[in-house]
Amino acid sequence: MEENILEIRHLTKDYGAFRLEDVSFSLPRGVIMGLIGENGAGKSTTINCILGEVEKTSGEIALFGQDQAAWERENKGRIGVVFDENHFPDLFTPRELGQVMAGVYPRWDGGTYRQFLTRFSLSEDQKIKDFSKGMKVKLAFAVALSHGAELLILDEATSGLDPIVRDEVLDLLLDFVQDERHAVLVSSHITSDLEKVADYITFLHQGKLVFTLEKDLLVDQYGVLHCGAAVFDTLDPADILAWRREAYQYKVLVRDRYQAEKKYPQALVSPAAIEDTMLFYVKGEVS
Amino acid sequence: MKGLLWKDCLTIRKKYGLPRLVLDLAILAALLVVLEGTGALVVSLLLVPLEVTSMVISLTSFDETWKWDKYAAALPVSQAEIVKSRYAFALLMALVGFVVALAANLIAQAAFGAGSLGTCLLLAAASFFLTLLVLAVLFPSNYRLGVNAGVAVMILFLVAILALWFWARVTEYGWLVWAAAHASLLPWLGCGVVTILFVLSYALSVSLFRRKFR
Repeated sequence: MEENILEIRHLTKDYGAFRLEDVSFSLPRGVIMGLIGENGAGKSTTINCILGEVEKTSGEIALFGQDQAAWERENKGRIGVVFDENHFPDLFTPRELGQVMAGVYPRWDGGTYRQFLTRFSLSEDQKIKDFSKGMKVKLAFAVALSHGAELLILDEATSGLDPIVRDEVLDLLLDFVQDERHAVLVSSHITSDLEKVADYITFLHQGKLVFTLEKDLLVDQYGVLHCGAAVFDTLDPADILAWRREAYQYKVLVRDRYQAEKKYPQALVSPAAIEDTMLFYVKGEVS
Repeated sequence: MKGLLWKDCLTIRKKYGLPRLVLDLAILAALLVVLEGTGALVVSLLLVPLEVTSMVISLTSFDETWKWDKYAAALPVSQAEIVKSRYAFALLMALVGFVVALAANLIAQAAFGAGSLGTCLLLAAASFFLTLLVLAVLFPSNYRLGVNAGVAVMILFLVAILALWFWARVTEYGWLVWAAAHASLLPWLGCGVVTILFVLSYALSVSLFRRKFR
């Protein structure tokens, strides 16, 4: 069994007005990776290239150790996808949707599907158009997890959900990777969710890869240094990842907040949330 | 592909269902009663092709509303299979239309002595191939421009038929002389041409569908 369920090497997609450029990262088994970036950063383009929904301009995508394009049909049977909005025929009931999926997925498991419907308290015979948004997302998860998927891809699937449903979804993701044979790629704006469950964070900005780092490194090590102009001018450039000037202070993103606390005792250093890091790279000056 | 075919079947069944079936049968019966012998002709060459075509094309409209193609592209089916399943469903529906047209013609023959068994089969076959011809024109335009453009194409198609009829009148139906001389050949020629057009239409639709994902 290959170690990396997904490998992307120098992926480029050129739309003319927007270009996803030279993106490379790998997703090992047993891992949840968060894919973050501002609107239009290229997250959905990356996912669409992985799923073959758009043709890449150049680069390589390997799924389950095989070239994505050459084994597209076989690979898609091993991927579960949840999008941000419902794409299922809303005239159907979950029971009828299950009948359709049984004819599509070679490893469809009707028993598992019904178990998920019960777990999510979804009626088998209620029309999908009568479901709330949260119920539709749960239905999408039920489908995605009922055909032996090894890779789960979520494209903004949790946006618009209440905290309770989001919490259920996060528990699902943790259960899914527990056996170390599966992996999850989550594209999300809700960075607080990623802080709870993600193992790695990949950050895209304006079509380029900024970093792929362990989440614990980002959350535990990265910090925000608050200081005035006088202290800012004394900072070692090697310590500065990015900075922002505000009305009465400078904020500086540092790689090691513990080291920064010792080195700059006159400055206030606080932990950097993933959202803070994003804001620095998007709105700040990057070193 | 089995699942995609079942999806289309379920959609038609749930969207149209019993009320539509009853309405169609009522219209069919009314046409047969009012128009007597020619009622079966109208059913075969107008009602059945129109009804089958509108049902099949409505699937494109539903898919656009649900943005189903985005999800379907993530399923373990190729893009060609997604298009193939729609064409296969169209064939099935056209066959259903053939059965309905045949039944209507047989009823007309029994009730009004209109035509023979051979004529009944010929008109039912004409209904089948006319349906396929219309769909062969509409499908590629749907894949290229969406369902609204497909409606425009259908209108253009009807205008073309009217233009042909007008031309035939102006030329005093000169083509009828040729047709009469080759009467036995015409049905086979028509079937062959429509079959080839349907296959070419499928190839074009696959190409246009693939372009959506570039």
